[in-house]
Amino acid sequence: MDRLKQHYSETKDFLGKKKPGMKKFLFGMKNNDGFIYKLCVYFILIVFSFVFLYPLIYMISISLMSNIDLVDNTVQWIPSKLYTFNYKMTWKALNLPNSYFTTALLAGLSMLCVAISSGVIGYGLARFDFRGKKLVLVLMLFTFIVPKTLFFIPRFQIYSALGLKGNLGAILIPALTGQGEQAALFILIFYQFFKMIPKSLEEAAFIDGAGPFKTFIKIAVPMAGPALIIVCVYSFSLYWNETFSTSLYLDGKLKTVPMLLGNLQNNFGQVISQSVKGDASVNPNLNFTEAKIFAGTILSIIPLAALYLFIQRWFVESIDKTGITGE
Amino acid sequence: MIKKQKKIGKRNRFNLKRKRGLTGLCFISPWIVGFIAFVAYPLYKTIYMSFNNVFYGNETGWKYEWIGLDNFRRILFEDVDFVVEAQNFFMTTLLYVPVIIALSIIIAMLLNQKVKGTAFFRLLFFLPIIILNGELMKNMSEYGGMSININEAIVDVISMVVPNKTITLGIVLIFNTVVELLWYSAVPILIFLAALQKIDRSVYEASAIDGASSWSTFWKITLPNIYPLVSVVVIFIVVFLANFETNTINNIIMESKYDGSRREGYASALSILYSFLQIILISILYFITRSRKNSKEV
Repeated sequence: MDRLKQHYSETKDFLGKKKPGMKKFLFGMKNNDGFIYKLCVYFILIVFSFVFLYPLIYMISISLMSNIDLVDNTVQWIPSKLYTFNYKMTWKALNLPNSYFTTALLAGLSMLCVAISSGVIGYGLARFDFRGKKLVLVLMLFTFIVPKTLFFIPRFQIYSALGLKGNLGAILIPALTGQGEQAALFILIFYQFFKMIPKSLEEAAFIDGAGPFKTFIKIAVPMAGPALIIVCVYSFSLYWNETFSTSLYLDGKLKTVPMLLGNLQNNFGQVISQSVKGDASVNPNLNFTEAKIFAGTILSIIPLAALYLFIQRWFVESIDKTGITGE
Repeated sequence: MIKKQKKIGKRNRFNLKRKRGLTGLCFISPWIVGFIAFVAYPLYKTIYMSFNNVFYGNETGWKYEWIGLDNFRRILFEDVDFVVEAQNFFMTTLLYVPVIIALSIIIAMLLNQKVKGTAFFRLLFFLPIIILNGELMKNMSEYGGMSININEAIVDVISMVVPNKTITLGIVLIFNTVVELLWYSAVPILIFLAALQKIDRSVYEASAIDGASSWSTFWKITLPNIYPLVSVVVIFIVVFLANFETNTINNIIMESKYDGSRREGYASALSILYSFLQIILISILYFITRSRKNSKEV
């Protein structure tokens, strides 16, 4: 009996000591640092990222399947064996790696033009007062809001009149004059950023005898790193992914990866008839199915995804510094 | 003597100001040139064309035949394709925008928690900023990448948990839409996250000392701080959805240009109507979500 009582009181003591710790562990000191809270955060994040990643996982899994696996009901996620034929053929159909270089060249040059023009224009708007500045800002918003289909026919005429159609000029010259894809957004990013630079820095440079252009190059540009990174990354990917203006104005002379991806079925048929001797009715793997489409899609996004992994650290860092959220 | 000096000083200051204004104009002159060449003139041309039948011959060049409002009449009262698609676009955008905003605020708040591993999730949710394009989205949705009902294993699990068949179907439907919207909400997440990180930590600490629950902290501190950005995000999303390659209206306009019975004039009229639709949409959503503080100032 005594032993039982002793045991009881020991347990009570033990629980009494443990309980606050346990409670603290589970619910935390404040509202939001307990274990349960963290568990909930992780749970919701994982659910969201599953929903978000589902198409990608599905595409990768399907793209590694042969056509026989596709119709096999027992094969759901994991292919019966690793099957790279889809990738080999779509690699040829997308004209890789040449089209990677074409697209990278187009996107890179456009990125340069966008960065230069929006930097200069953003600086002009942020640092100088002149008549009609508000009008410029309103018109800029207008160019951002209206759909790009509003201008495409007259621009088509203008480019053919200027001899820009069918070469890179049709993409680069609008970018250089601040009228490219979503140019108003890039100008606004620089505008916000240059507004944050203290005025006294510029005044000091002015007193030392630097003109406005020298001040811009020597003082404003070196400070604009974060804004530059964001604009460069975003404009590069924007022009890489662009199919509307590239397919319209380039006349099919330059083919970017997304354009080729849109025409994958035809190209795939050609590649098959040229390189593989075989009949689709005998070898079902030669048929064009979603496995091929997914393989092509993944090939088209891989360079950008790799690039993103490489630069994401600076990208995320500079988001905090630019003050995108100022307006 | 003193008066004269004052006068000179004034004039100098005036000149300096004017000079700075001119330098500013110098800086934005590329934009002005671009605006006149690639926006103002095309806008005039588009409006002009929309009142004309446009022909193109190899020898004659561009030819215009004035027909008044005929193009608009055909679009609105004879042909159905644009009207139907425009209504679809209008309604889906009105429904999508609030969901995207809610989703992106939730995710941005989760990513803003001081929990290990958020860097990884951040990496994940920002991915569409870089890789999203029309072809990718089209291929993903057309071949079943975004719907779980193609995958029987998952549907089986859901129907095991929820025996009611209509609810299962509902979940499957919601899943499809949410996948699509999550892919669209990368930039909004980024904007909201940046705004959340700007809020001073000490405000939260003060409210915690005063005994505010996290629920009221969200409504009283977090939301008012990020609310001004909602209207920015609204504009961004509507523009994004309208220009996105999977949008069928853009295809209708593009194809009308090459359609023998429609040609450029008809396509111009279409794009003008489409711009009006988009401006109306943006202004509706903008005035709904405009923050109260701003409206008082204005």
